Amino acid sequence: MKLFHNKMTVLRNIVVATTIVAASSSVFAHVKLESAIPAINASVASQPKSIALNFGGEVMLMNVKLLDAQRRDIALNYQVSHDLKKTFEVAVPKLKNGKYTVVWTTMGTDGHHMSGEYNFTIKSTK
Amino acid sequence: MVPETWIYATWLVKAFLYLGTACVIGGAFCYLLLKSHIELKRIIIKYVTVGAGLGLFSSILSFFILIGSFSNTGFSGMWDSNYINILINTSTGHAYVIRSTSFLLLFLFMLLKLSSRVRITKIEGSIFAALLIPIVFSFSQLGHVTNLSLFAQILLSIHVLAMSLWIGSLYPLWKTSKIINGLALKESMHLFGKIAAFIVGILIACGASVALLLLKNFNTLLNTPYGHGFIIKIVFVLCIFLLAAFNKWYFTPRLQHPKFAKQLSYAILFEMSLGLAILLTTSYITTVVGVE
Repeated sequence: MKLFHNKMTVLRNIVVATTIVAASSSVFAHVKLESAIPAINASVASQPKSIALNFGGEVMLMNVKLLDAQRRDIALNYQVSHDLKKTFEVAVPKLKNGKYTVVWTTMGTDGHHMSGEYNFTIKSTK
Repeated sequence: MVPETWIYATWLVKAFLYLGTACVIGGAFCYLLLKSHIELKRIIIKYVTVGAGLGLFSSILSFFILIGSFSNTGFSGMWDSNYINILINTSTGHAYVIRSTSFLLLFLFMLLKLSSRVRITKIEGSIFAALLIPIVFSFSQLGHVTNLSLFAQILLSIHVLAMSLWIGSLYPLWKTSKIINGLALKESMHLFGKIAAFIVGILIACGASVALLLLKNFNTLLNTPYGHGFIIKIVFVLCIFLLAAFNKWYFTPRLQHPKFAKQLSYAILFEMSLGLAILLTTSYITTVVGVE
């Protein structure tokens, strides 16, 4: 009985120590959008041919939408794939001057759903 | 349908998943712990069956909620075949399929045991335990430690196992305090208290290590929604530890008196509500908010 108790104490100590080591090194990995082209909240004069999204880590870009100032959907030819990347480039159709919103949804390697949106504006060069 | 709806749905379904897992693991543990009490066996088998059903339901639903959140086209988006095909072929999809299949097999096994009224053999018990392994390990494949070493994933699985074992034991123990009395109740509670002390050691280690991680950046603890959620969780955990200690050292030695047995059943009920609060808080801070 005493031997059993000692073994249990040793086992508990090992579990406690290893748990501390492992948990202390864990990272909370909710990957964010770090930058974009056209830049976040930027006003651009030229017509963008595509939107580039740069994330903080490798993700799958599950969905990307482009909305106009009235939040109407502008069709994009984006095909979701298994590719895990930090940067995604999506072609956009010809856009009029105005404010646009990019809505993105990603999945991290840990299966987490992440989403967000940002704006950019196309101004006339006059 | 606003994107937040998917996040809140994920939160609730994850809490149900934790609860289902706890019922299955805690129920199985209590089946072994209280095997000499025939009157409790059927109650526990029913409890494990409900847990396996809840786990199956929440596991499948969480997969389709994830699909819906990606397609972002309302409820009908949950059945988007394009996203289903994409997700099912990822490691995330595999983890969902393995988890759901394990819960399904457990559920069918428990239904069989409920209808046959035949005792569970050692081989059947081994199959049951084998099905628990992928369920417990799946938590490390669908969360923050996915990108860490296998060792860290095993440790997280131990944490899930220990938490489920404890929280999931509370309902069978509550039933025990209602059905059994006198010395038999005292002995059962005493045995559980001895094993729970070991489990609590593991749980404190995990909680303390996460706190250490947050103390490296103290602002995270005080100034972020994740930090606030974490503090609330710690308060609940401290409350449940205090209550468990009170049960172990005050009620258990006095359980031969019916008055204390009744008071213990109320204390366990309160402990169950605290356990539920911990599960809800944990799922909230790992889905709705998260530390970047």
